[in-house]
Amino acid sequence: MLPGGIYNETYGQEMAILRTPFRWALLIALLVLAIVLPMLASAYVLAFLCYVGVFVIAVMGLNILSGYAHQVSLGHAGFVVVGAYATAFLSTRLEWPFWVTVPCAGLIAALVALVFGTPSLRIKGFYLAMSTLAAHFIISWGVMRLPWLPVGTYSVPVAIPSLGGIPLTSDRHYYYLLLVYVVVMALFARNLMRTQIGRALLALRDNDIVAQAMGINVFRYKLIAFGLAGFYAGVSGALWGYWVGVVSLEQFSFWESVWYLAMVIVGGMGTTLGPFFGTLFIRLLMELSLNFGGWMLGAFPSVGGHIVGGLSFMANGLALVLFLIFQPRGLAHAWDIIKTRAMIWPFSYEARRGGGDAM
Amino acid sequence: MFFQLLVAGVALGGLYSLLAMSIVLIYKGTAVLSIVHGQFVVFGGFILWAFLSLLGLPLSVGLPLTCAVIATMGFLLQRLALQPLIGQPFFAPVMVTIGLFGFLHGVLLLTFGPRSERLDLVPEVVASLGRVSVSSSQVLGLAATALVWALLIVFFRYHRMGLAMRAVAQGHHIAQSTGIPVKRVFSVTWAVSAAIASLAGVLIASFQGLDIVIDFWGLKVMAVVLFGGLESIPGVVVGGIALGLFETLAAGYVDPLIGVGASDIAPYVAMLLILIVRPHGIMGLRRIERV
Repeated sequence: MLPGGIYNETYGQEMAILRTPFRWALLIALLVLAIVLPMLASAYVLAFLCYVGVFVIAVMGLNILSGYAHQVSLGHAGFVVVGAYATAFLSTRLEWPFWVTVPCAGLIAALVALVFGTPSLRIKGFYLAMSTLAAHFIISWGVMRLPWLPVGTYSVPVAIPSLGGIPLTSDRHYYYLLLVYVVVMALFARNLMRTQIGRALLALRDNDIVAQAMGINVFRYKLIAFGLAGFYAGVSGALWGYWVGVVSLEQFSFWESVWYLAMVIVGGMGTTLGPFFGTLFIRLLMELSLNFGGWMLGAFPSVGGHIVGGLSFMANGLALVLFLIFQPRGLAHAWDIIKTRAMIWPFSYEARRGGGDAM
Repeated sequence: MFFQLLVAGVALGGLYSLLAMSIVLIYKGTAVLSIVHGQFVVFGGFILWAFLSLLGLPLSVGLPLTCAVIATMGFLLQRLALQPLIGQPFFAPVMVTIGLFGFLHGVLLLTFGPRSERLDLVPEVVASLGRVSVSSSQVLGLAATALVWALLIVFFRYHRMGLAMRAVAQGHHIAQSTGIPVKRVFSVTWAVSAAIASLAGVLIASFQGLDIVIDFWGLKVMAVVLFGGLESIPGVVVGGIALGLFETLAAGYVDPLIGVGASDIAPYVAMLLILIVRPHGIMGLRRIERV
């Protein structure tokens, strides 16, 4: 929503991502804050932010696929797994440098996503979701049996990343690296929605039969959406692998796929800020439930250790359900409402329904 | 060996069919595809185990009590989480069931923890017919499936609530306009379906042992639901047996080639194949989409 007195008089103004100088200033302030944050934050918070940063990229990819193009995918963790294992292979077996393996892992994951996106030619909606579900399990199963893995294990080490000969070993270094990746990929995703591809994906979302009738090659754009989601997932998996140092299958169960989708929905499907809000919210919930579970374990030792894991599942599941019932458009929409209310107070937000940023 | 695998496959298929029946029941009655039934399965098994082992109740009391508890669970789920979403597009309730799947997994971890137990409903007796051996739990599974199927057929043809469910399945608005309380029918449908799922869970537990990973059966059985067409109960009987055979034959013949584990992936491979070849299943209705 535009502030009072500002109108779009040219096409460039209408398509601008940052329309007013105020928004530019806000973004720059946010970036400055992000850069300064590691100097103020504790190690725990820094690790948390790194975790969120790695996940945000994957969620951005799923946002393109499921948020903008509405091809609901229950198998996103499978693509992340591909990226992570590809990184492990490329960095340890072939010993490629960091700045090559990450994009390559993304490309490999994108290829796998394309393969598992081909059913979208014939099926859609719930059926496609089921095929992505099957894809997740098949990918996980296949990864366990890769020929180059040592028999009996599926936990693979990843080499230490280094840029220009400087090894990145501390969380602080990694945070800045992640910041660059996150900003670049978020900008790319946002900008994508302004292009022909983005418009085609939105047309797909609204009504794919009509889109086909208008001449948009539906299958091609569905594949593009899958490929992009796979690329983002692969990059995320690669960055995860480098950060943790070891990739193993337990890190990417089916539940991760569910939580990725939950992050997209809770954050806001098909919005730029959605992945950020969603990832932060769900990860925060998981941290809180882990801490609460740990406290409860200390206070009531008779309860078993599984209470900790159980609580995070309950919190996430409950969050997803509650958001679907009460705020299906997610936190990004709630944020929009807050901004609009602030702008046009004392008038009611409802009077503005129908306006606002469609993307 | 082939006939042994055949018997095992049919027995497994019976269990798949039973669970798939409950999911198809929900879809027929409420147009919601439920992912959460896997949790009814595993909760059914664990609650019966708790009744039998921890409380020492006899089976004749424990089993109906378990079904009642899970039926209440299903009823509450529908009332609290799905009723607010009536009228929303198809995917919203499905996502809610996925969220509930996660939530109930957490509850399961909290209450029972990651343990595996044994659940013996009948004394384990293995009979041999020639080179093939059949165990009592396999027979029990098949008998229970057949019984539930017969009961469902009778229920839907003659009982008032069954007829009401069919009416609601054909058209919510028209059913409401003839005076059928559609929301109540939804709740009852969920309760009945959850009870059937808990029965399937009990049988699975006696067949394979009780473990918290049983809740993934709810995902595996989607292959059966898709195979039969989302709305056909005879279809899922055929589909269940087909999947059971596919899985056991895969385990028997493919395992020696690639190492253990073909049966883990078989349901998902079957799912993918069905979706690629014939998404609306063998007896399902092909939806014609109009703009």
